[in-house]
Amino acid sequence: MKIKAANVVWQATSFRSEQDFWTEASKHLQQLQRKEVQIALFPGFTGLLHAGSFLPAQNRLPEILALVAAKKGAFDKGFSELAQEYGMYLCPGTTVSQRGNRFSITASLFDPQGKKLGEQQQTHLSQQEKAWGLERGEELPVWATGLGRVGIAAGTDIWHPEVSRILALQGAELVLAPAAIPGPYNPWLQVAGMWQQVQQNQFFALENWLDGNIFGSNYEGRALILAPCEMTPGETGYLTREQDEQIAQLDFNRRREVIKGYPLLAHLNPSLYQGYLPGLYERDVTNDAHGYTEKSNRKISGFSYQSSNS
Amino acid sequence: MKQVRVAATQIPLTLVKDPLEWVELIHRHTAGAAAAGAQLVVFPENITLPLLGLIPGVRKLAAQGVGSSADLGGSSVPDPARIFRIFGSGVEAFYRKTMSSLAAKYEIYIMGGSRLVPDHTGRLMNIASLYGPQGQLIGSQAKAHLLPLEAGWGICRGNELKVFNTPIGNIAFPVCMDATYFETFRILTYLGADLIIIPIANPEEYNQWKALRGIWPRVQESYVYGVKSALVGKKFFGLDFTGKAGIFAPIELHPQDGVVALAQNPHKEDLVIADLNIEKLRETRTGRAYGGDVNLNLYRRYFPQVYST
Repeated sequence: MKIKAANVVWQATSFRSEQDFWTEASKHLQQLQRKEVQIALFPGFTGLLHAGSFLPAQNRLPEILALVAAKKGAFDKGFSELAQEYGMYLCPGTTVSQRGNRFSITASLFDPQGKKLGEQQQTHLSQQEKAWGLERGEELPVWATGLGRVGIAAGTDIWHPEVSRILALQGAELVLAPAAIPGPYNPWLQVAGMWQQVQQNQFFALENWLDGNIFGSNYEGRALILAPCEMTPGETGYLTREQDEQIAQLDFNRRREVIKGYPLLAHLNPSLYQGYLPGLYERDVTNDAHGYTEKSNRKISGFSYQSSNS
Repeated sequence: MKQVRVAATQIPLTLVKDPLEWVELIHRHTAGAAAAGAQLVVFPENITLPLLGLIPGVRKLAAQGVGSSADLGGSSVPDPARIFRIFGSGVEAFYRKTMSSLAAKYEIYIMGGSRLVPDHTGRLMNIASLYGPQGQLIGSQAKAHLLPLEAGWGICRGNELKVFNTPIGNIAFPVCMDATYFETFRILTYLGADLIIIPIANPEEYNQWKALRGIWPRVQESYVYGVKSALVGKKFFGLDFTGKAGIFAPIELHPQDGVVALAQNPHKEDLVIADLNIEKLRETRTGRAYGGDVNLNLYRRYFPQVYST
C-alpha cells in the first residue's frame, strides 16, 4: 500500500480575525487535496497561531495559556470540519489543553469524517515548559486508521527515545511530530530528534516545526518527511526536505521489505532490559528546581576495577 | 580529574602472515596515541580478525567471499561458529598478552576492541576488554545486540551491561550494534557512564547518513561522551568494512554538530585524538534545554511489558 502524506508548511504569522486563520488553513488543505494527499500535519503551536487571531500580539506565554486552552473547543471543531471537508486525516499540530488548574501541550488526530480518533499529551517537557508548570501526559496510544497505525510524538518528545520506542513496539507505522522550538535553529538538533527516532524504529514520520514569530517568541525549524535510510534518495533518511512543498509517497510494502532485510526491532534484547527498566530510572532521579523528576547528577560510586575474566 | 585525552584508532583489516605483523599494528597505534599524550586508546570490533591469516588455506577461502551462514555452511566449509570458537580460543591468550603488555609499557588505558571468543560456558560471544596502565584487565563486555548475520552464525549475545570506574572517568564499552539501540546508552548512563566507547566493524558501503545511526544520536540523547573505533578493509571474505573513527560530544558541549574529531577517510588507517572534559559533562548534564526530562509514570506503564508485544 502507498499513501500520500504532507506537512502543511505554514509560516507563523498574525491573522486579523479567526476567519482569516480558518481561510488560510483551508487554502493549504485545498492545495493538498488537489494533490490527493490523504494525511496532513500542521506545525507545532498551531493553537498559538489560532490564538493570535483574537489575542493582542503583545501577549506573552505563559500568561495566555488559559486563554489559548479556553479556545481549544473551537480549535478542534474547526479542524474536525476541515478534515471532513477535504476528506483527509488531519493532525492540526499542537495547542494548549487545560485539566483542573494544569495545562499541557496536546495534539489530536481527526479522520476524514471529522471524527477525533484521539489526543496525545506531550509526555516530556523542556526546561522552559517546566518553568511554565505544564503537565506531562502518561499514555502513548497508537491509532488504527485506514492508512495504517499512527502515533504522535508531540513537541519535545522527539528527543526522548522512550516515546518513539513505545510507539514503535505498539505497531506504529507512521508517527506525526509537530513541534515549535525557539531559535536559533541548529539542523543537528533536529537530526538528533525525529530523524534518528525513525532510523532506530523504522517507521515513517512527518515532522513539522513551526517557523516564525508569535507572541514575542521566535520559533525556527523545518518540515521534513522521514523514512528509514534504505528507502530514501541517497539513503539520507529524508523523503523530502523541500520547504516549498512537503508531500511524499509512503510505500508501506517497501518499508516492510526494508525491515525484513534489516529487522532492528527483532534484535532488541528484552531479557537485558528487564534487568534494568524501569527500575534504573527510579533509582537515579531527583526533583529539579520546578519540582519535576529528572536524572540526578550525583556522582556514582560503588563501581570498582574488575579483575575477573568475565 | 578534569580533562582526559582519548584516541580512537581506525585499523586496516588485512590478513597477516606472521602474528608479529598484528602486534606491530597494535603497537604502532598505541605508541602514536601515547606520544600524543592520550590516556586512553581504543581499538575496533573484531580486532583479531587479521590473525585468521595464520590458518592454512584461509586466504583462498577469503578470496571466495562469504555473505551468510549458508555460504559458510557449504560442503567444503565448516560451521562458522565452530571456526570462530576454535580460532577465538587459539588467539585469546595472544590478544590478552598483547593488550596487557602495551598498556603497561605505555602506561595507558587500552580498550583492546572485541573478538569472537567462547565465554566460560562455551558460548561464542563478541567480547571487548579494557586494560589499565599497569597492564591489568579491568573488565570485559559482551555484545548485547547482534547483526542478523552474526545471529545466523550462532553467536550468542550478552545480557549484562557494565560501567567501570577509573581515574579518568566512568567508562563503558558496548559493541557496534549495541549503539543502534537507545536502551544500551540509557542504561549505561544511569549506571554512571561518562564515556561510552563503541568498537565497530561495519560490513557495508560507507554512507554518512547510515553511519549517523549509531553512536552520534546515542551521545545526544543520553548526554555522554562517545568514542568510536573502526575496522576498515575491502574484499575481506567478500565483505567491505567501512567506517570513520570519531570522538563525539553532546551538541550542548560541542556546538554545533557534536563531532569533536573524525577520521577523514572511511577506508584508510587513521588515529584521531581529542580532549574531553568529564567534569563539565557531569556539571551540565542536568538542566539542559531538551532531552533531560524523566517521566516515571509513563515508563512504569510501558516498561518492560512493551518489549514483549
